[in-house]
Amino acid sequence: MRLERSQRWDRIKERFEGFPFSVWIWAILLGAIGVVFIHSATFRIESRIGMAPKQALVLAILPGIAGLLAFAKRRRVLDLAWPLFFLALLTLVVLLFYGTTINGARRWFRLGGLSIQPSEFVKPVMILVLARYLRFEVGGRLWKGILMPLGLTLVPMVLMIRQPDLGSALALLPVTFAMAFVAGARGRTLIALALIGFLFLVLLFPFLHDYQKERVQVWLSQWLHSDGLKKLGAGYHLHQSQIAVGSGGLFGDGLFRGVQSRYDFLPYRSTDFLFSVIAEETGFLGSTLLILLYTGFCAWIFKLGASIRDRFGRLLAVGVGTYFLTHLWIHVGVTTGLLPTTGLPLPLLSFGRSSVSAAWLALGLLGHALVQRERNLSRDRYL
Amino acid sequence: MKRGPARFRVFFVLAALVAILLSLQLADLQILQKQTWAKERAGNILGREFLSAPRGRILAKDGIVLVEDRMRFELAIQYRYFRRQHPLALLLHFDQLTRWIQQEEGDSILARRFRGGLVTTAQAGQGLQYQDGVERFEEALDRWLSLPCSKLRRQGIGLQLALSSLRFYTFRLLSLTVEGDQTARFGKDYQISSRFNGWGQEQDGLSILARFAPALTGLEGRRAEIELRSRLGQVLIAGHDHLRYLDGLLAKEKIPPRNTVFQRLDSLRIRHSHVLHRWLAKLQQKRIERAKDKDSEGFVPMIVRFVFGEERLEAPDLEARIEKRYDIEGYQRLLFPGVPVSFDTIVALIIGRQERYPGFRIQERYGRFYPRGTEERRYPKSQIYDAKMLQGLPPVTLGWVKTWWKDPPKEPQANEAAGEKEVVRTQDGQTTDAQPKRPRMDHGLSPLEDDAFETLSEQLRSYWFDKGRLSKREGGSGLEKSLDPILRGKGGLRSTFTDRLGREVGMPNMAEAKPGRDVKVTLDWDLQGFAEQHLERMAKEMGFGLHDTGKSHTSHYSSAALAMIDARTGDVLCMASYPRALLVRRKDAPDELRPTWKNFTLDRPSRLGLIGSTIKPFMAVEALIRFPEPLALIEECQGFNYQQGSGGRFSYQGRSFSVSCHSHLALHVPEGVENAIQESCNACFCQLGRLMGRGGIEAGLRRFGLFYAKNEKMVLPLGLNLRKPGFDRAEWPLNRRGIGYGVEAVPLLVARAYAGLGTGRLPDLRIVDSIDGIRQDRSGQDLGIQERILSRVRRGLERVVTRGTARGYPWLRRATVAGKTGTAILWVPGLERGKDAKRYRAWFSGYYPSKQPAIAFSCAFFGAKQGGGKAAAKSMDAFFASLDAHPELHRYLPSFARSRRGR
Repeated sequence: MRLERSQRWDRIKERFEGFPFSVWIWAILLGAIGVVFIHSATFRIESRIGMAPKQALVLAILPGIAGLLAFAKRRRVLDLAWPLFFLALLTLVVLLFYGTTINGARRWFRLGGLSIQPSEFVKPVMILVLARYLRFEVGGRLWKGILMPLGLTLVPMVLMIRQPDLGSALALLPVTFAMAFVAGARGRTLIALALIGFLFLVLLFPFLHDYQKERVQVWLSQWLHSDGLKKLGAGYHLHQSQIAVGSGGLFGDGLFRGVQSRYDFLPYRSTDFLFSVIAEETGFLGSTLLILLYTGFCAWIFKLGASIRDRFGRLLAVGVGTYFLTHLWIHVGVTTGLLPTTGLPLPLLSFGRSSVSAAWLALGLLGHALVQRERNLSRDRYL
Repeated sequence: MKRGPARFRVFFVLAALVAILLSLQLADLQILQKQTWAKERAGNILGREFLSAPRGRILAKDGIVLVEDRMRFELAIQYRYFRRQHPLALLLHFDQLTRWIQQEEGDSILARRFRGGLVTTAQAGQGLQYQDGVERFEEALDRWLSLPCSKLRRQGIGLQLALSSLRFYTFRLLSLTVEGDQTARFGKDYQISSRFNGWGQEQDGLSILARFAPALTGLEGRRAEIELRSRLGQVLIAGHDHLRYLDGLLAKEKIPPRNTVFQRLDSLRIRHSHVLHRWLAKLQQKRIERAKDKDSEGFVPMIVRFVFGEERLEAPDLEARIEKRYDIEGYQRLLFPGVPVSFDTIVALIIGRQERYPGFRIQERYGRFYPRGTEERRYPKSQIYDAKMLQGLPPVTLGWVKTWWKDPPKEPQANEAAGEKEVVRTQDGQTTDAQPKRPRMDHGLSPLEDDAFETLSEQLRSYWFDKGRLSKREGGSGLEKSLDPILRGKGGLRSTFTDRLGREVGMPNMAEAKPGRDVKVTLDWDLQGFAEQHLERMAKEMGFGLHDTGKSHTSHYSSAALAMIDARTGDVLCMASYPRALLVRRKDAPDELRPTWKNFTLDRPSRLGLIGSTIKPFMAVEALIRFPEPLALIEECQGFNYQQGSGGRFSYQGRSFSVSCHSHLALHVPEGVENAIQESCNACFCQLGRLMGRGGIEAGLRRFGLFYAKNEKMVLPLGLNLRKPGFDRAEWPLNRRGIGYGVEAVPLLVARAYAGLGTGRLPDLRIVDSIDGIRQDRSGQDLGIQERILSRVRRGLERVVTRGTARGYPWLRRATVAGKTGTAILWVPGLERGKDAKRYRAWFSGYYPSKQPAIAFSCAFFGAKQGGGKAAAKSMDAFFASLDAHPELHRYLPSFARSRRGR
């Protein structure tokens, strides 16, 4: 009997070998932090009181689902990549015509009481499809190793920009570049492309939406010491966010005591400006700790990725790590004024079922890369 | 693929870089710039509201309220609470933006910025599209805002002109919104009462409500609600006690409290809305068609629609139906399409549901109200004075309250920090410390949260200044000015926490406002008004009326005064003045009047004038005190004019001088002094002037409170700002001074001096009877003059009326007035000396009844064509005659003097 139990345990251990429990714990910890601050940001507003429990519920379910993905057969995962990509594209196209407009942007499908933001799901799908594509591209050839993946990324990007969701669209580029780099692309080529892309963006500036132009102008105005524009309309979000972050000081106001959040000055504080709430309530110490925690999380993903020997898994890992790191950079950068205002949630922390689901989907891909790395290596014909 | 793990190092570096960069940015914001952002945050949530203190009331002697403070309401629009889609917000936004750009960069940048997309016409049109689906901004404006926006079409007129047009209409829109405030300030109470057919303007909110009460008694619950809502909605702001009235009535009718009533009415609207849906759609269609025909509605309904949305439009139709259903007589329709909506209605609607209209704030403030009536006169907005033309009331006496915007608070100066103190002088001459000046900021507020002030001073400075909220009201003239320290309350300050929508969510601190104290004056307002009218009538009879004719050469002298005091207590009963109001402002005056504007002497009873022969009784008293028989020491008057070329000049003490002495009997026998006073003998008093010298004249006047040396301080009675009497600057010879030339005094003090003659006791003048019900002490001083002397002078004064210079006036004789006429000749500048250029300062002062003096008076006409005997005495005679015709004023006429009819 004892022997049977031991064998069973060994079998379970064998089954879970390579599963990144540390990443799961880390992500759940970040998610829990997110729930606490979502509660802090919303508990005074009657219509938003249920947000934190909803997020907690999602957090309770998603790690399990992501875990299931980790144990999926690699062949099936690989087979799903292209269909998912085209499904995502189709969804984005349909969204342009049938999506629900909120605050001037058509980014959501409303199904009953549930809002789904397809562009969030596009991100892990892109990681998957790029990893699938780049797994054979060795040596970083310009066309197949760089331009093709870039082209693949630009298609959903254009559709996302049309919504408009510039933040999410731009967040795809670093992921693509990072995966291409790991796949073997030359660093110099990538840097040159990034510079060209930046120049291209500058040239595109006059064709941006008015509100986007205003946001860039406001962002620039803060460096030019011209605060007048900042307080007018377009600069409101940035201004209020900087007030929240800046007034947090060294130790912050204390949990649930953020003034900017309590008196409703901070917009979108449970989603795109959640970090401002954290910074206001926990101060420099708390917010820096969170940044270290988050970048540590990303670095841990990179470390795990580096340990994977198969290309597909490694590409998945770097894609997921870059995805989280990019979002951290943009989200915190926007809330602190380092970047122009754009609405991008902080994955795992910010409220938003689509965003959290996409983040856990990405983690599921990471788990898949880690769990399936050794045992399927010899059997997988796609190697 | 071997390069793979090595390439991962880049990502570790990138992660570290991200962490470092973000941490550095956080350190910059949270540690280095902490104070800056903390201030900004405090500015977000900290609100400060000034609690204006109501000024005290001024009551007449018999308790009639002459002026009091009442609550007024202002509608303020706060841009930041609007979403951009709101059409009004678009205009506000545009206005603010263009102002900012103009301020920052000048006009030349305007077009570029505008085109650059900060606010484009397309963007501005979004909200309007939202309203009715109109695609073009210009058309939408044409339709909804009634603006001639064809000018804005780019192809027609240049962009600059289009922009300036838009700016103009934006301002117009905003100013019209503010205009509501003006209406409310000047005519609110009348507007309210005049809405009810056949109701006079004297009705105030309380009396209107009182009229409602019986009508409501028999009504059922809901109907009473509707009735209350419909009628009280209009009188809701009638006074600052409106809530009390409303609650009281609701309680009486067993109707739920106010909020519930509104909520129930709202739900009532919602319930009925489906019934009216088709009808409303039809109405909407009609309105659009009407707009297409350019017959658009006015601004105010437009504002209301934008403010309250379409939902609000349902109200009038519903209420119209309710009206029809219940057939309520005299029902007033509110918000009916096409009918301008009053400011009161907007206020009443917002004030009940302020939380639903963020960005619209009803500000309450006090304003002066005159229950006895005001003459409505609109002043331009640029004029900051809250000036009032009073009808039937003496504005010169009462004065007005001016409102001024204070500069932004400054940092305290070294000497301010020492804490200067205001001093209020009381009647007995003692000084008391009034409110000490705040060492930090002199804004009439108590120091509160100094740290907060310090932290936020920069922001508050701009905030206060921009919003113009730091205002102060103080007495500008008359009693309002002289009693200002008593009437003026002490403003309070309330600091609040407000959320993003401006809703108050907390109140960390409050310094309550202290209302000003009520002052009851000694003036009998009936007598005052009567005297004002009398003076005006007499002045016109004498050919004054100079303000009407606008003749500059006579305008210098066109004033008159009548002061009456209680001879025993010194209470000022009336202090009438002519002209009684500033008829035109200086800048409105004809060109020829402007240079001499200051010579329109108002407030005559407390302004100086040469007293002429009115001085003679005091000279006689002094001479009788100094010399047992003074007339034995002077040359006898032969009773004619001693002029050069007409029989020679008068000689006394080796000096010769001209004396105009009208023919009268010789004076030495049998009662010389009495005769001299009776006949107002200039020869006699010229000699007495020389006999007593300057010191003697001064002493004679000083004894009766009519002389103060140049550096001597005169103790002013509380509330009276009297000029110091004494010698004028001109060098007059003693003989001339002896007959009142070069001697100036104010009519009130002259009346008091005659009260002293009549009673032997010089009372202190008083105009403040009580403050907050506490009566002020009466005081005075015994003159210490032998009765023998006084009786001789009194006899002379009585004879002035019976046989002397004021003879021939039956009412003066009937009232047993003892008085003295006085005349001082003046020449009109710019005219050759002759009969036409001659003007008189004509006085008649005295007391009555002669045996037991009760009232002392002084009547003066400045610029009359006749002397004291024929102008001032005649005026007093007419005054007594008029008094007799007014039974309510008989108390100022001795009982034996009243006619049978009058009795």
